[in-house]
Amino acid sequence: MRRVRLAWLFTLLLVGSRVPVEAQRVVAADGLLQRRWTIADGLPQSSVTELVRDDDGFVWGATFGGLFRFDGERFEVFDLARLPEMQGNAVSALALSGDGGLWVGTLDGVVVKLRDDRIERSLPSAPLGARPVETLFEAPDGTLWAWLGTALASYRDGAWRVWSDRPSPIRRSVGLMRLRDGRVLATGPDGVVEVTARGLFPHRPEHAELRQPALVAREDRAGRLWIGLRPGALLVDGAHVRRIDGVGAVNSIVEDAAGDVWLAGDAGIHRLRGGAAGDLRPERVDADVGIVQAMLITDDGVLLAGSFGQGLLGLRPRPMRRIGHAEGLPDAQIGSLAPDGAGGVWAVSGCAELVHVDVTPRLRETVSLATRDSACVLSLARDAHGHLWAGQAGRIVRRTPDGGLRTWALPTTVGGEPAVPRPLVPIGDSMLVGLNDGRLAIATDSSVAPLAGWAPPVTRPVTSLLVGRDGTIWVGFPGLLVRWRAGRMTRYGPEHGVPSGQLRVLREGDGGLWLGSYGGGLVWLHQDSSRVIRLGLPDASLSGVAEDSAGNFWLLQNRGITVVTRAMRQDWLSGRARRVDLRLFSASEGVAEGNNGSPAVSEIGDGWFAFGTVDGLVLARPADLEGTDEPKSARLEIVRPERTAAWPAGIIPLGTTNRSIDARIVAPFFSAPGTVRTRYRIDPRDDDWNYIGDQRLFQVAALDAGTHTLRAEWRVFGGDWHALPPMRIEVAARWYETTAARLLGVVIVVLGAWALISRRLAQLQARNRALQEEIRFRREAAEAMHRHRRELAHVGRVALAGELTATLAHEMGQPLAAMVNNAEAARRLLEQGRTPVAEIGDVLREIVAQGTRASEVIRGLRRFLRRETSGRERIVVRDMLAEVAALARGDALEADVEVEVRVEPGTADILGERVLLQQVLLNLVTNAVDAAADRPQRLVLVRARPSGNGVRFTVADTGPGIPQGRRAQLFDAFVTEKAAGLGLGLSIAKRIVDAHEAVLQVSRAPGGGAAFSFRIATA
Amino acid sequence: MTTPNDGPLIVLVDDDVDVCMATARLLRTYGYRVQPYASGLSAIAAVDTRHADVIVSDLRMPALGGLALCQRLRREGVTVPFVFITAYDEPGLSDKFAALGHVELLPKPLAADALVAAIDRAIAAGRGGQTAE
Repeated sequence: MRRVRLAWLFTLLLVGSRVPVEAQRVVAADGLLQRRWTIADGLPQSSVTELVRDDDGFVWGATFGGLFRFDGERFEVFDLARLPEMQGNAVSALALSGDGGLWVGTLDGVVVKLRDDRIERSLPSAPLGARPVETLFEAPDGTLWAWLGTALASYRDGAWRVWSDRPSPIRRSVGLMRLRDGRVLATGPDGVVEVTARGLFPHRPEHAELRQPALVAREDRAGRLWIGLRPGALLVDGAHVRRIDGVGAVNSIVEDAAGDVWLAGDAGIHRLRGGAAGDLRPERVDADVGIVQAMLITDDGVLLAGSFGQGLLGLRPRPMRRIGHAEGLPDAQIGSLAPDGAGGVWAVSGCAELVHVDVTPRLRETVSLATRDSACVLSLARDAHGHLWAGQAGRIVRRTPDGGLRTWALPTTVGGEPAVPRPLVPIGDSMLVGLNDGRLAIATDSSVAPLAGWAPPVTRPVTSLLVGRDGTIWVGFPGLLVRWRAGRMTRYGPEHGVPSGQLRVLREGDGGLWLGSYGGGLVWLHQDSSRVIRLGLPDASLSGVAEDSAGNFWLLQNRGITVVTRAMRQDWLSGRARRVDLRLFSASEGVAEGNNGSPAVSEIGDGWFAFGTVDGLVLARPADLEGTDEPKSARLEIVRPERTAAWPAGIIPLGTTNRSIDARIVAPFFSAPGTVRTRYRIDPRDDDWNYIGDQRLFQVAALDAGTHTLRAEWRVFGGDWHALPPMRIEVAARWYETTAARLLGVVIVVLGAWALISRRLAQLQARNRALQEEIRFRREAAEAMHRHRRELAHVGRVALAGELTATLAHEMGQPLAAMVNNAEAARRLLEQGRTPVAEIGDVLREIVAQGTRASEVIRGLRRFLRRETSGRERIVVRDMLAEVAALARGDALEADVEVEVRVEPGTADILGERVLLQQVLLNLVTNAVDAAADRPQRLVLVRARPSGNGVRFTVADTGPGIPQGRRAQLFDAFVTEKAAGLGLGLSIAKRIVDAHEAVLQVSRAPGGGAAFSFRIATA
Repeated sequence: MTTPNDGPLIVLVDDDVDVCMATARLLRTYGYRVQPYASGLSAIAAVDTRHADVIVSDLRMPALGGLALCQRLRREGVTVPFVFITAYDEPGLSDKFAALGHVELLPKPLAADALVAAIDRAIAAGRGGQTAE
């Protein structure tokens, strides 16, 4: 039965929507921004039949899929699953209660009262059986009035009373409302009637028009009554009743803050500008909304319309004004801008049309600078005299306020092309002009002349110019910034962090210079330190920057207009901010992509700015946009764990298993919900706020047992923080978190620590013993080493003794032989008696010399032997090698091998144990002599040469050499083969060399023989 | 008999210049003509080495020792007798001289008488050898 009625109702509404409407003005959506919410956004059903706004500013809506609460950001749905007392999801009527509750009626005839998101009471059924609750209304005296189907009934003191019940030709949308004087009106089949405790009476009985069936009535601020009919509307204005046609059936009437009255119904939404004060000609709003069943205006001025089948529609005025082609501009593509000096703006519309626009926004005049060669206007500026300057390829045009034009031709570029004057920067009554080949020019009343002293650093287009407060001229090029001060040029390039794109914007601020580039974003340069900081913008394209009176930057970008607050910039530069918080006005706010005018942004006075976009000129006054609108209220909702009746207010009890909380900040804000920022902290856990940006939902996890305080704050972008009432979180302790368990834990820890310490002590003692053992071992090793050294020296001496025997025989034998021979010769000469005395004297002198020589041998030998115990000493390489060669001479002579000693120039003294090193060398030389003996060429070369910070000794022979494979075992093998006899074993030689921190190497000598070498550090 | 210009020619080779000069001086007092050389190499390069009556040479010398000098002269066909002087007591050395014609070995330090006697024996042997040819 219910279903049949429902279907019939919808059919009627659908038919009604096709009723033709009269010719009317259509308001382009241009003046309004639209937003639609559907089931995809969380709306429980696509048809919204009722809308009410509660005292906190939240919007409640009725659908046949349940009830919802909307804060502009998300839909909180209350359906049968959550509120089983409703018995069905088809909510058909809503009414606010004086105590802050909400009356909810359903198609099934159920009436309940919702309060704090729970059903506070359910009314008993009316004595009419199950009838749809069409309308609910609570009168100031607390009586609940209801249209139940075709019956008007009231509920008071626990009982229903039916006032009227008869078939209605309109079947639906019968209304109830209260006049400011307290009277309650019902709209229904009998027109507008006053509802009193005594019964129903016709309202304003003198007006017959009010007796026709009415759908809705609304009193405006001036006390006039607007009545929705089917079709049309009535305005009761004092003694007059005026009729409004062309609006279809009117289900809902609202009046906005500006005094416009909005009528909506089966022909969509119509606006009556100025309400009763206007011409009552309805303008149809070009919104694809179909049938509207309910409307309301939020506290922040958004008109919400509940449609039949097309979701919820939001309409709001554009935050920024815009003027485009539809408003009379020749072309919506806007180029360069210049203030007119009187609060308006000159703008290039399209190529060469200059439009003069005020902030209404209204087009005042159009001036064409089009030429035969179609040179577009590429730059604009206004000088101190109020002249407007325009740059075109090859020329500059100046327009006086009375419309006079004067033109200066520009010299061609270096490449012979027409010079492009862009940008233009006024300096007093002159104009500084940047050209496309890097030159700068000054345009004055009389001429255009190159800027004295300026030599272009690059042959590239100047893209921006700034005359700094101290007179510095800043010139921007693609990827290059040049500072020109007192004739000195300083370049800042990519190596300094200057972005590579075109530098479009130069602006002093924050103690440095802001550079805006198209492609490289916004960076800040500290000119003295060349420090560069890049602001992390999501859109790196930058066409222009405006700075409002609060110091906030308004950036014109590809995505629209982005606001960077002064506080944000300073936090970023100081490193305090972890991410950039931005406000974006994009296409959804009516701002198209920024254009590339020079300049693309202009301050035009009285706090207004003009922005040139590819689709219209946008005019905005930042002071009107920011900080004025913000949510009327906000609250912190705990989403999880689910709240129970047992919770005391302001306390969140958490059990032992789940210690996390999902919380949400809800705030009714419909005009710019994305600008709400939130942060929270858990005291005393958190040192700082957790910033969650434009997120509203956050999770607090892993809480410790005990009591915490959850604090949350919100603000709108650029506004101040607002604290929400803190909530206490009480986390139940797990068994091991109880005092007893903790005491036990302490005991266990103490015992454990004691055990650990004992063990550690034992370990330390063991380690100590091991250390002592190690020390002893090292001492013994050191002693063994000493012993070894002594043995080595002994071995050396023993070996030396054998060598000395052979050497002494030769060294001493020669002078002795010479002495003997000389003495014998002298004796015979004297005997022969004929020899001159002089010759005898010569012979005797030679004998003395030879005796001396023999003594030298003895002395050298003693010196040599004495040094054995001297340890490391400074050694003169040449002397040491001479001694070695002398020692080896015996062997060498015997084997008929020549021993050549070569000390290269630059060979420094070394530090080492002389005797041991000599033993090594002696060993190597005698081995080499052995190897070279019986070879066609018998030569041993002992060589010393500088090598790094040491001296490399090489003993090379002309012997057969040592095969590669044997070299590795050489030092071992020789120990066994040649331990005895002349020379030391090679292994001993190796150990001596090792002891000198050197390596004894063997390699192939140039002639094929063996070469042994090692390097000893210099002294 | 003792004039230096007509006595037997002795080529004296010793790498120790002092010893070489002293020995030369001593031998001259005996009436020999003495031509000293300070190395085996300079001795073998000299023409008079081939015409000497006797060559008195140190055995151990660098580069070209006395034995090598003797061997090379013998290969040239020079039969000049040799008197070797050595500072070392080396048993078995004389066996090496078997094929080298007249060779005497004298130990250092040497007595003048022994040297002169050895030289005279060598001269005699040399003349005898030449006669035999």
